Amino acid sequence: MSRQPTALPTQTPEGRAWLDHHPEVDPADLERTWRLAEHARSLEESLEADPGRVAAIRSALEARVAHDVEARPSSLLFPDRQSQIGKRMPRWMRVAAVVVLLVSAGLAGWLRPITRTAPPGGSLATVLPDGSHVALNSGATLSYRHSFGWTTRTVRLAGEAYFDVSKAETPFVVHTFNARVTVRGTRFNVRAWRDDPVPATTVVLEEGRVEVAAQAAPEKTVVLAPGQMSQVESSAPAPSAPVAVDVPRELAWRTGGLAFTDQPLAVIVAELERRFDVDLHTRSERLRTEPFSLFVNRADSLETLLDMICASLECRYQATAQGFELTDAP
Amino acid sequence: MAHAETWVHRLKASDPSVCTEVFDALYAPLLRYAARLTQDEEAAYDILQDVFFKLWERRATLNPDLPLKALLFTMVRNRSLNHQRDKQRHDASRAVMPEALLDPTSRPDNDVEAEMLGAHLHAWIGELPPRRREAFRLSRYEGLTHEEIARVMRLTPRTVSNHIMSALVYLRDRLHALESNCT
Repeated sequence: MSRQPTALPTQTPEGRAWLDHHPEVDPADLERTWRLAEHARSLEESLEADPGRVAAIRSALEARVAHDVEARPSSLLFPDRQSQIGKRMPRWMRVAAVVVLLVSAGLAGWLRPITRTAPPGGSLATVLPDGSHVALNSGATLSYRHSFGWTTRTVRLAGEAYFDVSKAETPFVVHTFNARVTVRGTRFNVRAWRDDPVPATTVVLEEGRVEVAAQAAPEKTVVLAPGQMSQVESSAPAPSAPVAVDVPRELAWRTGGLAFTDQPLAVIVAELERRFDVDLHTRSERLRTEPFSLFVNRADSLETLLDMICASLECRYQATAQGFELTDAP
Repeated sequence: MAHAETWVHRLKASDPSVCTEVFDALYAPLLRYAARLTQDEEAAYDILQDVFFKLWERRATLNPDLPLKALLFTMVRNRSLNHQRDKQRHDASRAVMPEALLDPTSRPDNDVEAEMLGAHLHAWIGELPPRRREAFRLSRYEGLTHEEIARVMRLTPRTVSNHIMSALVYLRDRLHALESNCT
């Protein structure tokens, strides 16, 4: 998501031709003007997209795509290839080919879970076989079995994801490293990064009803109402009591934003590393543990975010080979 | 942007996740572009939605050789201009005075000078002729290449370059005037 450097207009072939025709113009002057124009960027980009409206358009688009894809599931995977095979081979050969494929792919392939991972620096929206929608935040992984939906609807999540679960009799269960979230049909967000400084699974419910339990004590469940949050810390024997939260804020990541309230900086830094696919590190214990709140509608520029962090925490940042290093301000 | 070249192929294969991936990557600049051309935020959101629905509906007929980013900017541009024509609104309007200019305390910033300079540049960019302004903004702030701008605005890359160079000359002159007033 980082901005690509734009070529200087004076250095394109057309720009050079223009300069040849205008010998009175000093290219260095124009390059300086081009650089200074960066100061107007924040004003030029002053239209702040309304995250609610953007999310609504995004959901409508997702629903439309899912509708079309479900309507013709057989051609979903390889539409072109399938039609070619269909034209060239007689039916018995196609059946035989499928049998050979199945046998050679073997049971092992069938048993191996299906895994979807959002790349660092990106996000990933995916549709499960039951029509449930899942949006994965940068670096998050979702896995499930080929048998998903037969008798159970079970997925495993490492990282953060937003679920829009289609209604069905079969319960839908999300397992994280330390918690399990059980629902029937609803919309909710699960955040479970095992390597956070205080590893925890955080569940925020947008609509419907969910049950949260620690893996260690599945009988002690907490039921959330819409707008509530509960957390399972890895050392805690049961989920925390529900508290009301600002749901759009908790879901800011879905529209490219960031929202953290009084989190150790290490947690925020870990999110920025995944989101921007860079290395951020600090040797300062103070900076790692300092609680910090951060809310932006759209996290476009890592440098701008680091500026914001360093302005309030009195730190500096320096570019390194793979990213940035944060140090205490002298 | 690393996946940009595969977007069209994935769209053609009806990959269910590609639409939102493209949306997440490009909605902000597309929305800004629509809002600027129409001077109407409501219309900009409608155009954004329409463009992505059309992209999905027409995925089978997409030309894999054309860059998707330029196509989306072109679709936004056509709809924005149609919207304007339908409203019979002539673009005599200048850029609205940014709030930060009216109230300099509203944006706390260490570097007041840089901010003032930014406000001046923003106002001067608003003074450029509309098409020159459009080409300059797409190049400088949205990061489109000359070829992409040429496709979107239906110009030759050479004309795009001329617009941008002339815009720079204008801004340079205004900068020089400001600097000689200050010293």
